[in-house]
Amino acid sequence: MKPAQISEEQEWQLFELLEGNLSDKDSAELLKAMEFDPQLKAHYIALKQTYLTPSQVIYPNAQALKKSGAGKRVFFYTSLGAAAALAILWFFKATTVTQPATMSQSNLAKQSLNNESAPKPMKTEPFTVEFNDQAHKGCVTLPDLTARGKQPDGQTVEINPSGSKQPINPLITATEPVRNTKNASDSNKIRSSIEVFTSQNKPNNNAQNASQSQAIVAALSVRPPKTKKELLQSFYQDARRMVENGHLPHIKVKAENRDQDWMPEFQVGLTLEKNVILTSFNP
Amino acid sequence: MTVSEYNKCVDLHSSAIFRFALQQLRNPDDAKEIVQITFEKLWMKRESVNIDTAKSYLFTTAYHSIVDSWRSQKTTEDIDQLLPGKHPSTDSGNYTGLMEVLEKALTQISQIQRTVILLRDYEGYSYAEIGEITGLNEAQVKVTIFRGRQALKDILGNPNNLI
Repeated sequence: MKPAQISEEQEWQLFELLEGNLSDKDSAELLKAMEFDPQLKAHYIALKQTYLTPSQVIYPNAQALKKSGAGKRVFFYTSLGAAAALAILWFFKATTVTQPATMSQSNLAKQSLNNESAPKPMKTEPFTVEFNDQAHKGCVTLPDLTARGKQPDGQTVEINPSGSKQPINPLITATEPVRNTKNASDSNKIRSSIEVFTSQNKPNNNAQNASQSQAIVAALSVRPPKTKKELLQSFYQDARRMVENGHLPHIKVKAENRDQDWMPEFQVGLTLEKNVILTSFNP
Repeated sequence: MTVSEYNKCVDLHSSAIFRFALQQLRNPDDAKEIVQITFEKLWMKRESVNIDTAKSYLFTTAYHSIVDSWRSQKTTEDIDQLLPGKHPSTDSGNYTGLMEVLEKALTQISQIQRTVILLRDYEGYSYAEIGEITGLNEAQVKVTIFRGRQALKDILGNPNNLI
């Protein structure tokens, strides 16, 4: 049976009592009043029933919400280390590409050194110059090879140093004094020091051919294969030179959180002068 | 907030957030989604939220997500009412215990009244803390709780209101 209505002020008093907002004295007075007013007590009981008791509800997927920060931190450093290693490897690869990679060229260098130390009569055996890497393709143009029965896309050029029987084609001439430098930028200087021109219209005599062939040997002999120690020294020298010239070689590490995601993307870049390497890793 | 503190928050508050969302939305899947969204936001804001204020942040975020869910549900219900033969289901089961009756009565009061009563009774929040979560001031929170309890009392006093 629904109790009779009470005033809103009485409702508020009951509410304040149940909320614990009344002083001890006021609470005692109100409880005493309820003993003499059954309707007020009935409303008090009804209002008291509206208070909820916390139920035991357990969220079932709590473990899935947890994060393992330590693992991510290790993964971050692993990714960072891998990125830096790749960038350094790329740099050394770029350095070694500029070095002579064929055995024929190293043989030419040895032959040239032998010739310089102990002058000998020049052998009449033909020797082979091979251009097996992209760097040499770019810097040496191969003109009309069909005169010797070779295709333009062929990678082998036979040159007779004596030139006694056949004209040499193409002719490669060193236009700069040979220097025995060992840094990475030497390859570009060597490239620029070599000119290739055709002798289709102006056939040379044998003496010129011989001297030009010696120049070829001399030019190629300044590029012996470098050891790892020499490569490291070259890298250090180049880096120091870049710093002295105002170009600061550095490894740039950048962490981004583009989409407000909790899986950040790490980017590692190695900047060298105008060449920018950028490798990104997204764990 | 460190990772370990975040994980501690998961242990301490995930069930409370789930219960809060479950009481509001009456759907376990929706409530789980609210919990996931809430903790995902906490993880994203972990740099600016410390462990002392994490509980308040979690309930505030959960409440806002629940309000968004209400809005989308309201849109769906409005569309359902336009379709022939589709009406909001009324669960007229047998309520044996007072708590079950009370939980059913909770669904019949306003959303804001339900929210403040749940925060008050389940989590023991003060009027000021409830005000921070819901955006009301202390007086408004107190009045809202009072009106909500009056409404519950009327519903409990008249069983026909539960059918």
